[in-house]
Amino acid sequence: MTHYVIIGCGNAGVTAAETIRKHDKKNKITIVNGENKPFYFRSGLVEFLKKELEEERLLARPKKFFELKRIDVLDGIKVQKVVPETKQIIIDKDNIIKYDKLLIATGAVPKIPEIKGTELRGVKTCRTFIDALDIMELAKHSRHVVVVGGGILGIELADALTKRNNKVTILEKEAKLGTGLMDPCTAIRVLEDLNRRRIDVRLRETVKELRGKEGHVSEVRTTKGKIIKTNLVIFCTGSSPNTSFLSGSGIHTDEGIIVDNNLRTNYSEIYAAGDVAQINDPDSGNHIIRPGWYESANMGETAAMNMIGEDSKYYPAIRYRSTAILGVPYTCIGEISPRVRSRKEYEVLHSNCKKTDDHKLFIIKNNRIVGASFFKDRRCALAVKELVEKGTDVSGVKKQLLDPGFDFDYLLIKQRAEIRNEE
Amino acid sequence: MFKENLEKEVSEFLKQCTGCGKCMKACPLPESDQMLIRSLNYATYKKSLPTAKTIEFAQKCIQCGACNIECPANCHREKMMLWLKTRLSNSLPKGYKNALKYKGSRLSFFQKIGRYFALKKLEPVAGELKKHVDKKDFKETPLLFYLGDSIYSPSLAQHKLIAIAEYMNKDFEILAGYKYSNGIQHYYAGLLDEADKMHDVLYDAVLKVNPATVVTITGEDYEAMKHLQKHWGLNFILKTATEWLLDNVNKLNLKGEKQKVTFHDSCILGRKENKKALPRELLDKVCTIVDIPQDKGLCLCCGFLRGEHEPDSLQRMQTKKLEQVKTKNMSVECINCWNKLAPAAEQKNIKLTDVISLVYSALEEEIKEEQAKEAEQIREEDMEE
Repeated sequence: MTHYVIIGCGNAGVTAAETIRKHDKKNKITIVNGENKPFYFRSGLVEFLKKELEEERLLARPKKFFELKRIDVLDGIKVQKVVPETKQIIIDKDNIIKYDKLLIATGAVPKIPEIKGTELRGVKTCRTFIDALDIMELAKHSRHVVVVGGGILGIELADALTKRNNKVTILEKEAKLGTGLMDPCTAIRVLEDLNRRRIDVRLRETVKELRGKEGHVSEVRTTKGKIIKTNLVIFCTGSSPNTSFLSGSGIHTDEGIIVDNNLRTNYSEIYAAGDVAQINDPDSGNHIIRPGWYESANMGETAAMNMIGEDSKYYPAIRYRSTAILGVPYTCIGEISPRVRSRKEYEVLHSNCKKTDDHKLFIIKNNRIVGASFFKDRRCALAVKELVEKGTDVSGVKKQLLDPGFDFDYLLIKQRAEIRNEE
Repeated sequence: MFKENLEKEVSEFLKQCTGCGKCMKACPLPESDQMLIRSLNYATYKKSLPTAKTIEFAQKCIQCGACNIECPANCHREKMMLWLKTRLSNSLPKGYKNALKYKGSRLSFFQKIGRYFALKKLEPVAGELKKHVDKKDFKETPLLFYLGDSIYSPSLAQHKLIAIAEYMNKDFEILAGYKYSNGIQHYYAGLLDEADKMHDVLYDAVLKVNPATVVTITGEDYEAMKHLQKHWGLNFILKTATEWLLDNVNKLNLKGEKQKVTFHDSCILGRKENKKALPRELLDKVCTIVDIPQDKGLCLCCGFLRGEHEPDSLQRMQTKKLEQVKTKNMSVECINCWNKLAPAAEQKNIKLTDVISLVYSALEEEIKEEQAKEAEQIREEDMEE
């Protein structure tokens, strides 16, 4: 009898449990859920705050799912320690769970910069359902809300709070919004849209210090010396893998948990998947973190296959993010950060953002597309993703790439026809 | 081929779905309000049959693609619904089954007899083009008109398109008839294997003609040809009749007064293929376009795939749509839209036309003159003999 234990009830954990059950009908599966709510759509939390999605609809699996699949879920339990030598996870003095195979899928925790006053009440992050409920409650008592960080979460959260009749200020320490994920034109568009929505955006400015009254935050002092009176400060300054409970366990960690391409840690019966895993990237030789909903599901699946004894590999795929910023579809593929764009060997093609509504950006290296982003019209995104993955030569059509009517499928069709002819 | 590709795509979409529910907000079906994303996703991949409510919803889904546009993760909910439908294809509603029964080439003996009598009635509509129906021999030409079942369309747009091509002295071939049906209706019903077989027949026929350009007159035909390109590796340039006319429009002398016309977008051409601008560009030359708002509930759909088994619901959808039309004329691009909307439009006293017909009527005088000239010439030659 093998006992599969999974720490974390997010997309990676649940997908893994599901995959194990698909192939192994007999053995016991236990999920240790650190939150009180069963597996829910995390990115739906913003919609929940916007009142566009009811709480009932946040659940990501049917209500009887875990019962039906015979998966035990222990809600609201935080793991204190993992002991690989005795194959145990320790919850408290009296509660110890023995495992035969363990998957760590604890995801990430929000990062808060080290400044004075972050321990005050009214200082929040937005990652879990409880966080969302807290924000809803606190926002009722604070007319002015400060969101720190102008990434996609910060922007969406600011919009959600504005819809709840709060006045919002976004503080972003960089010179533009969404560094790394948004191209400059998109960032400008989004900034304009935020201004239209009467959201106060302050660039090159961030929090220096938080001050409180009676243990509750009351004002924010910024790096430019400004004072903003507020009772709610939300940090959307990124997240880091949740590995704090592993210290001293002997499991190798760096930023996340170090795993090979079988998603195995240095202990052969312990695996890691999702936002917490730091995977070997054969191309660069480094271990990298690939956070994201879709990646988590893929990793969960791979880890599960390895846990039941199959040999399955996971290689960090090309980065593909598809989302909507303030209701406008936005997709970015591959690497588009300014670090890459400024290098000589890369060629950058982009549409004139003053002229067109739909913005497109391509980054080309050796006549192959290595990065792209689409704002508004992203019908060609899936085709471009395939072109990037396959490394298709685009030298003949470079000038047409930005044409609104250009048919990317046609390139793929041509390639398929060539393959067929060779056959 | 359909099945394997679809399975792969759908499993990706299921992983990407973040459950925001925007697809159901964009869905034109009234039932969508009650659907839960988790139930839909779960029903899509689990082995046993879903609940009655989900089955009903899946069978009503017309694959219009409105959901995809709203999805932040760029998932195709309509393809996920299709995957669900493949499992329900044994329990197709009767009306839908009836609509499919004579299409394709692999029919039983009795079906063939049934088809013979059914098509006998439609023969007058095919008229002069009858000789092209289900034919086996094709000549190699650079231009192929793929008309499929639309050769029996009462809109008569097929005749007008061919007349324009003849007027321009093009060398072309025609692929038409129920034998060469596009298979998309089967596809949308979840009968993927049948659709595959039909495409096999289409593939052979197109290979015989070996065209550089294929022109279609309905969205479904366009999609079928796109499948041949994408998954079967056929290499040709695919065009809608609109695109083809636009390419040649400069050579044509379009005349006549400009009427006010409301334009109805096709789901496949307008939304999925992003060709909304093209018919407008062409229509601009022959009439003045008045657009109607396109919100949820007031969907773009003509009901092509729905009406077969749900006449009441079809009527409701169409009435709602046609109430918005403030002009006396309405035009469509896809001939299947015409076939479906024509009876309802007639009741509302709206004159329904299509893009091809509008261009044809702007050219009619010249074409007739040309035809008369030719007839004259032939008569003179006969006299000489």
